[in-house]
Amino acid sequence: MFLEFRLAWRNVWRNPRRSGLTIAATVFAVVLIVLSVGMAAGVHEKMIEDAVRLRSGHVLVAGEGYLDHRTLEQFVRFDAELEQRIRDTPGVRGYAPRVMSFALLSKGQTTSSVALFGIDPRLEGSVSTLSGRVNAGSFIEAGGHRQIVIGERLAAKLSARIGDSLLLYSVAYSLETAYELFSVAGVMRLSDATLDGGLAVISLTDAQEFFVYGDRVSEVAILTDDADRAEAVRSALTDALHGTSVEVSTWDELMPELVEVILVDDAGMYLMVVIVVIVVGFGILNTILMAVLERRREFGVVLALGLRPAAIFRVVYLESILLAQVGLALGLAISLPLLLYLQATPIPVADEMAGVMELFGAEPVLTFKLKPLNPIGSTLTVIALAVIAAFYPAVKASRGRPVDALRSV
Amino acid sequence: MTVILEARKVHKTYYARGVETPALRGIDLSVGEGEFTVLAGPSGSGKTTLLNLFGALDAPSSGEVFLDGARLADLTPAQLSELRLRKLGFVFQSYNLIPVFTARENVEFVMELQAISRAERRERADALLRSVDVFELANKRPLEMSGGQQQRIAVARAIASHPRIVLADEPTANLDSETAGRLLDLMLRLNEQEGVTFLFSTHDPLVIDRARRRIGLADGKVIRDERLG
Amino acid sequence: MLGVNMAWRNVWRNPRRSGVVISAVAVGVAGALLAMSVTYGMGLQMVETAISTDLGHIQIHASGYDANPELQVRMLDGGQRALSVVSDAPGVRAFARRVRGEGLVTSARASAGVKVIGVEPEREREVSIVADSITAGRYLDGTERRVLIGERLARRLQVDLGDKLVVSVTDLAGDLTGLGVRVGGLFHTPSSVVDGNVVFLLLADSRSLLGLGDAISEIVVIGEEATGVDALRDQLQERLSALEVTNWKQAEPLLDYLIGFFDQIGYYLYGAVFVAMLFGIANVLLMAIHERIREIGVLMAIGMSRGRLATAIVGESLIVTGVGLVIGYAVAIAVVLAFRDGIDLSRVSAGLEAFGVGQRIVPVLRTDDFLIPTLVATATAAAASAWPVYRATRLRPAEAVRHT
Repeated sequence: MFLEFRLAWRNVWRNPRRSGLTIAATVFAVVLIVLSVGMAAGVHEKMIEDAVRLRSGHVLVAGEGYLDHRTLEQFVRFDAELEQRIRDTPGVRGYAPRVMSFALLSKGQTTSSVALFGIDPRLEGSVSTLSGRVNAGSFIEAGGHRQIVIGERLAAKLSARIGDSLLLYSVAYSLETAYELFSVAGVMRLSDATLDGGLAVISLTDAQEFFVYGDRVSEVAILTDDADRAEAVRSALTDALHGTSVEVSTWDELMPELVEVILVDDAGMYLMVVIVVIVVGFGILNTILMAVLERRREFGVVLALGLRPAAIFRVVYLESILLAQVGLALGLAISLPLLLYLQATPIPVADEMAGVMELFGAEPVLTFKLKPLNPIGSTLTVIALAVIAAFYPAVKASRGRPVDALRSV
Repeated sequence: MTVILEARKVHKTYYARGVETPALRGIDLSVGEGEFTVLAGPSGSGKTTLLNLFGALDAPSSGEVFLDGARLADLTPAQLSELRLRKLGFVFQSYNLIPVFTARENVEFVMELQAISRAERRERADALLRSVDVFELANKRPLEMSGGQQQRIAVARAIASHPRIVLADEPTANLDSETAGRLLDLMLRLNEQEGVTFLFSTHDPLVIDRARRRIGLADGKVIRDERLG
Repeated sequence: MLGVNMAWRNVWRNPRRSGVVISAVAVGVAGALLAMSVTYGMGLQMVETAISTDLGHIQIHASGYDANPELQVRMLDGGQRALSVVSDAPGVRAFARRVRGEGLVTSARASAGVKVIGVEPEREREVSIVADSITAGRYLDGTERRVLIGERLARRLQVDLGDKLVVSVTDLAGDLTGLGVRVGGLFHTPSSVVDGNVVFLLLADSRSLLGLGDAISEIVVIGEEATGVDALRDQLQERLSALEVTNWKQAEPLLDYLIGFFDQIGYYLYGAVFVAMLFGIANVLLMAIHERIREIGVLMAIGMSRGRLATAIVGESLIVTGVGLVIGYAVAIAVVLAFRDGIDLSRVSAGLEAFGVGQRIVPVLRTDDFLIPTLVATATAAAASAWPVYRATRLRPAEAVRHT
């Protein structure tokens, strides 16, 4: 094998310009793959993270049928026992009981329909970042009474300022009409345009009173130590809560739309990568093929000297793989530090692009994330590329006949 | 005398675009150990074809070729590779050194295929390069050398594996007569002193003059076979 | 022409080598075109859905609606003035009046926040696909207190055809008020937003519920041709100076951005594909020059000028790329035609419907889609031949003819 390796290595450097071009094409492919995959991973993780930290949590405990209907009919009794069980489950970093419903919110003659979150101000911060998004006034305070926090766009629509009274109107659990005045404690800025224009937050106790809901809550959102542990925490909680009429779900079941958007986005990205990889693959195939064809006589000579056809096959393969490896090493050397830099320094986007990202529920920031699978996948892709591209030339070379060696120039 | 190569009723016909071109028409011939033999004849007489058949580089259309008693048609491609590696040495008209290897590496190449140890390889390669008088070129690549120098290295490569016979196809065709003469002297010396068997194909009078046995070919047939001194 | 003729011959001299480059170009171009056609088809569908379920091509509102889309901003005359202009305007295919409010809809089991949209059934049919998207019951037929809701909303409210709902709103005077209605029909459009958040009812019902009297909120207009929408808007705005006339792009600027955004992604893709191709083409040309050094020397020795030699090399590059382009175009067109009924994406339909894309995406190719790769490929081919041309024209004939 060493002999073949040496032959291959020397041949790679025999025509440095040609090899250089092939390596450059490989480097380009590697950088493109690593950065595209890194960007997709970063943006998607951020989308998930935002959605998880804004609404669902990683794991959700709710009444049976909640996922399908999301009405007050589906509830969980959030008593000391349930709280204790959730708190005792390993992997749970935080939990937040909430009442979720819809209401009309009016100021003067202007009315807007809103999604209404009733949250426990002491616990909410352990799951969501809602309180951190307040950019005027303050979040719901523990022990505060009839305070409401609304999105910026909603506030603009209602011309509501801090301290203004808003009329909240809805239908209670008892199906009776419920209305109450709340005073605006704060305004928050949410990147998701729909939420920013249609979310109102009140305290859990106010919500339970408003909806005549007793100690019921719609859901208990749970944040786990790590997004990857969601499944483990879910099964642990399912066991711990066995016998009670609750359903435990993970974020991907809660937000199938998000999962699918990511799927579609990934599909588009991989399509692009595949197209570029194929084009680069043809380039490599061509280089190796030419290198093989112009060495026909040389292969004849070594065959005449007693090298086996299989060894020639290996030499050609090694050449292709060596070229790919050099390209890969350079590509990774360029792209990985760049990716790590971008991971530390997200790129803010502006104008129309920002609008599009907000439409998709993402903050207008391009984030990057290096996952171990990324360089591993790129490496495997490039090696697979080299192996596939070199196959035909290698077969061609190993079928060379030693007679060719004796033909004069 | 031990017979190394033997051809029995060998015919070879080439087919190209539907046209049959007979190259050999019934060759019966044997080459023994220690010979210094030329296959002589004009272009198209079939000498290169015959050499290719003896070198197991091509197969006859009919008839049989034996190398060291083994019928070539019975051997698998892998066995043929092995045969070329162990028993045959080649010297080509256009030298055909491996361009990416140095002179020493070219000579070592065959030994490396034979899995000879590195130290032994090195020692023998250097000895061979000395014996063909190009030791000072050991670390140069073929493109940096003259034709005569390349061909000397090719000879060293051909005998590096201790072959039973060296097949040389027009080895002097690309060389001037002075260089060619010196190359032939070298091969004669190897034949006499080290007992290397040579079989040439050529129409160069210089080569024919020095041969011990001359086999004349014309139109694919042996027309003459004379042994000298 | 000598150079071009030679280029053409040289392309076919090594058909396998040219073939590999041609196929690389073809695969790249076809892939990029198809990706482009799918994203554009998707964008188009999003726009189409928004137009056909909600926006129309053009919206007419009372002045101030764009800044502050509230119930108070209304056309007191019931849109009569605007209607007379719109119905006479050339290029208008259909139009309909609407009332838009926000409210809460409550069933016996649940409630949900919704847009309350009052429509004139006969006219609304012409501007919206909701009438064609009925999956149960019937479209609005003039019967009072019947509403249409999307299947998605029906699931959330746990109601079926004929079930009772209460639509609660704050009326024009700021008072809370409600209207008991029955579900008269269910619909399913490609937009999950419309399916989950809208209650359609009769214009008359909505007016009395919201206390609007004769007023309406908007008139939507569908033009004869989508391309003439901007001109039509300008013309209507001129004749209705007291009102606000907007087109769908002004009403939903994000949708317009989205199309541009998809195009941008397409350009990145082209960029990536052609950079990848650049290496391949340059490599092949270099090899071709390298193996023809002697020949080039002979050509120069017998008097071929460097200029002609350069023409031959650039020509070879352009021919190979051009053939690849044409094949790529043919493949892309064939695939787009094969999928003219749409690509089935029902597996991810929930995610797509959130953006108004249905279960099938019909890929769409525009003429611009061909223009850009043609220009870029030509530039790429020329750029790729720069180095080989430099190499070849610098050869000295005396040395080149001796080259082996």
